Amino acid sequence: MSYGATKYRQDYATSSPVERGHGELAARRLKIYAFDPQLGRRRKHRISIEVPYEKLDETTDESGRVRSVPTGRLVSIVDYDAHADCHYDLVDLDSPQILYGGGLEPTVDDPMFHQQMLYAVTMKVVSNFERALGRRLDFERLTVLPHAFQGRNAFFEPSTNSLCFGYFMASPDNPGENLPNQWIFTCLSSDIVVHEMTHAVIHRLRPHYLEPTNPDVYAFHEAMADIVAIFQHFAFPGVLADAIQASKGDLSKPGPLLELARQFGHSTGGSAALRSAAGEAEVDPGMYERTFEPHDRGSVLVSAVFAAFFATYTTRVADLIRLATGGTGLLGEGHLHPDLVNRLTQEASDTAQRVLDLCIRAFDYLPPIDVTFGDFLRALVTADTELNPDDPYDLRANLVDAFLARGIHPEGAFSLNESSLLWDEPAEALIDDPLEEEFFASLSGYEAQRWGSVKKKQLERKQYDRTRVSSILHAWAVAHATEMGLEPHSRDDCPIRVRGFHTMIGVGDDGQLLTEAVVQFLQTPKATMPELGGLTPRAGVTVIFSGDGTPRYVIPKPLRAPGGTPDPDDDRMRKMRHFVDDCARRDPHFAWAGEAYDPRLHMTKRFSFALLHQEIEAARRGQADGN
Amino acid sequence: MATEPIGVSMYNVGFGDCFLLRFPTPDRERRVLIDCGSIKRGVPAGTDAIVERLIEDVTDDGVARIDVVVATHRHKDHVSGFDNEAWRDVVVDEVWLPWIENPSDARAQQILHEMASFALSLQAEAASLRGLSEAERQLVDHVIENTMSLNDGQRLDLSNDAAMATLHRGFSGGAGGAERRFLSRSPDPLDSKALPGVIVHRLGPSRDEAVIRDMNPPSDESFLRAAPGGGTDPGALLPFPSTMGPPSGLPSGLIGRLERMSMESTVLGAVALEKAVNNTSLMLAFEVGEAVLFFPGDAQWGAWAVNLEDERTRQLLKRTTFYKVGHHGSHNATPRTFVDEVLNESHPASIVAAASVTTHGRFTEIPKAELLRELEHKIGQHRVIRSDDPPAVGSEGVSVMSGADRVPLRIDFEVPVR
Repeated sequence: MSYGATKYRQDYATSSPVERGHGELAARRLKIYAFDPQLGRRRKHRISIEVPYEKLDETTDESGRVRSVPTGRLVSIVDYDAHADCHYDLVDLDSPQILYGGGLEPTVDDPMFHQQMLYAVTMKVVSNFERALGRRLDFERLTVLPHAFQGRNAFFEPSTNSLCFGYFMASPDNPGENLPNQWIFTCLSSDIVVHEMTHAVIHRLRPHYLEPTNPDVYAFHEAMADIVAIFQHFAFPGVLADAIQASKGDLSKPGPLLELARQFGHSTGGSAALRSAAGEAEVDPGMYERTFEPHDRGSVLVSAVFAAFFATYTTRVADLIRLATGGTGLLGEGHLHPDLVNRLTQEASDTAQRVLDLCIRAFDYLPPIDVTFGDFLRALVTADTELNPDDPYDLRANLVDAFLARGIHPEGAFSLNESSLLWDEPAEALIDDPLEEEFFASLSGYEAQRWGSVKKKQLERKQYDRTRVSSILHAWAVAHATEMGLEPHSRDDCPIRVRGFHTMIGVGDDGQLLTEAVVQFLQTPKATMPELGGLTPRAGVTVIFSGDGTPRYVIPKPLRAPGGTPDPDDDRMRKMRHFVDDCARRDPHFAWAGEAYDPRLHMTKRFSFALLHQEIEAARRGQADGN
Repeated sequence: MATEPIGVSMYNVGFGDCFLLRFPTPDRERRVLIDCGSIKRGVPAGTDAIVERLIEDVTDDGVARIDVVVATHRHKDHVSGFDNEAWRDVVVDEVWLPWIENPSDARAQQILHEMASFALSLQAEAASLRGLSEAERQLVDHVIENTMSLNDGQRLDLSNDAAMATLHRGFSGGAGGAERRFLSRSPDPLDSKALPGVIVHRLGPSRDEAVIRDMNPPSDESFLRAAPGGGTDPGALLPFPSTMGPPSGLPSGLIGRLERMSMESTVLGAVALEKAVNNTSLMLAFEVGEAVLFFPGDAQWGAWAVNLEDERTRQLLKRTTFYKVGHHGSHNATPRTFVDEVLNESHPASIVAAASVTTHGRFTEIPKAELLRELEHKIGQHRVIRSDDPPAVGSEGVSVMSGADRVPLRIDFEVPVR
């Protein structure tokens, strides 16, 4: 997972697909709107991006010609419009014109371009995650509908494993920089696509984060989706260089780089983008505690991560600015020298990639359930300490400062020293009992076989056995349940389950390999708790094992549940109850419907991504009206 | 300062509110009417009969007189009674309305306009949707009825317009007619010549942007239209060449799920509109001596939260001696914090809660039985009085006036001031 040389990619449309040695295609180049069609009126905002090459499904059309459809290993574009009950023909991304021409030209008028852009941007998200995690993502193929319905909305829908994008007419009275009644396509906004796709990927990594057990869980989902979307802007060097020239190197100034979904915001009568990472001049430490709505609460986390990014970037470019200003560090009037812009752009883009990679890599250090912002801080600190112990630009310190300034305090951490923010070391008894030797051999054998870089042919080989890996882990967890804060395993009342496992192979700053395994255990007591609004109380723990099978970190979410009945006085139970009550009070449905017969009051229903967006939209519009 | 108790009459309007307050002052009795509306057809006595009774109750020597008329918010169940010609002859000094009703306030007019236009969209949306369940249909219909004009349901900007016309322009009065006052949350007591000796606290609606967010209705673009035929303009389809029907490769279940989401989106739109209008409610507390009479209208969480978080208003509410149960006893119009931590905390000598309620269609949770039980637990047995089921034997300070058919018509409370 090394960062590799910082490539300064050409981002204007070029025309040849990227190859590895011996004619293996490595990437497709496809054109997209860097932001959306509104900004895309300028040529510099219509760009090409590279996504890893993969073989697409094929179909035979009426004339007997074989052509591809935009369905790959992880994503399948299906262009059905449920409002009009019709569908649109699909783009053939393997046709020579498209493959060698770098894709269709960006336009709002051709649904095939919409499909191309959706494929490219969703796969870009996948490759961002795969790159940072150092492993392939593997999930059931997502169905992606570019024109699923009419309405000002787009969402990830877990129950059907789909991404649905809406389209709507720009506000007739106040269309911003669009025409009144012009069609707006949410699938042509890179930010919206990245945001929704990130929800889907997070869901793959931590499926139980769809259980709203505390006010941070959905806010975390939203924050990560925004973080990935905004940092993606920093991967477009041309766009970034412009922003640096315009802001004189101060990237914390507001501008399209830090804004999300600009056209979406304008077209709906707001005067601004949907959300912005540009913090307010004064950080309000009470904001986190006061804010409830997931998008708003999430933006507290987004602003913390960006504050740390800005601080780190500023440290990294301080010498460049001094060099360029004869030592004063004060930039004068007028334009920056293009060489300086280039260097600042490289630093900004590299810093952004590091921060984004770290945010993604932190997932391996998160508990399987009930995540909080404080957990995320501990995961960030642990993940970065593992890989980059010496932290030359104080990124970790900047993160801790930024979280603290926003009132985010990790629970259970002894102090805000870096060492006490690391996840806890396991109990002695756990360290003394490493996993069976066979574990790593089976697991890494399986992964190497499945994900070998270029597969020349299908071979009949010994299949490494994942179930064997799983049973080794299960036996270990059963033997050490109490030491990890779980109840003793009981198949009927309080079963412990292995939720997931994978190896984590990294290359540290010192160039050395770091091989570990990440394992998630889950324990679900049998008794149901009606007062939790349909939530299932669970305990869970993530354990990081080193290459020799000894546990290194234990990341627990305990729950007292003797005999399979959760203890109502358990700390996490109390918090869940409190949160469910809080949600009920605010839920406008609640005036009318009884829990007994209306599933809408179910907590997970209350937090449906689709309806959340509908509510935030009204609230946001209110804010815009007030300005 | 007079020492006689304050009189409060709760008229049994069915699903709605109608309260008459009588403040004894040295020269004469001052009267405040808070709301007069009902949504349920087949009100026990009929809304017109209630209005007739009410006007008779405020008539002395052939002159009907109410010092202050308060309309908490423009829902039918709070204002429909004002759609009655009899009000022309009633002498009124002041009419108090929430700031959102102020015709010369551009912000207020914009929010009202958005509410009305959203109600229209909601109506169109609901009419085109086939798959709503019976309960959902009833809820959406209720919201539309509660919000739209009483007459024809067609007029855009004037929801409940005949009734609102009375409130804005009607009544008899002095030379200039009744004075209209548009109130918002304020730390200072209201200065009113109409109510000497009464301290009127304004607890809502706030003009704080954070609270106004809870008054904003959704917009019609926010509906998720994923079922054929939804929307106000079925002709507005994408100008792309297309093939009818779903394509091969569409996972089964997706169409059904999307259709279901359209329904949920519509119902969410309905309850959000209802909440938005409820949160424009005037929230008033009348203080005389030891008596604090608290009328929160139908305010929901956002509007309540401000008052529970503000130490000044929290202390005031702790002294409540008469509580009009919010929104006909629905669960989130009386926060649990208010019941558990505020109400009766200063142990006033006598306390009573009045709930203007009735069962209404499928809304089995209004009133919320647990809430009424909790209230009773907090303030004492037989101190929570329901308009549709008042105690047979008069509780202390409570008496019931029934109509010919023994249906309660009016319930009278005496609220002591010392």
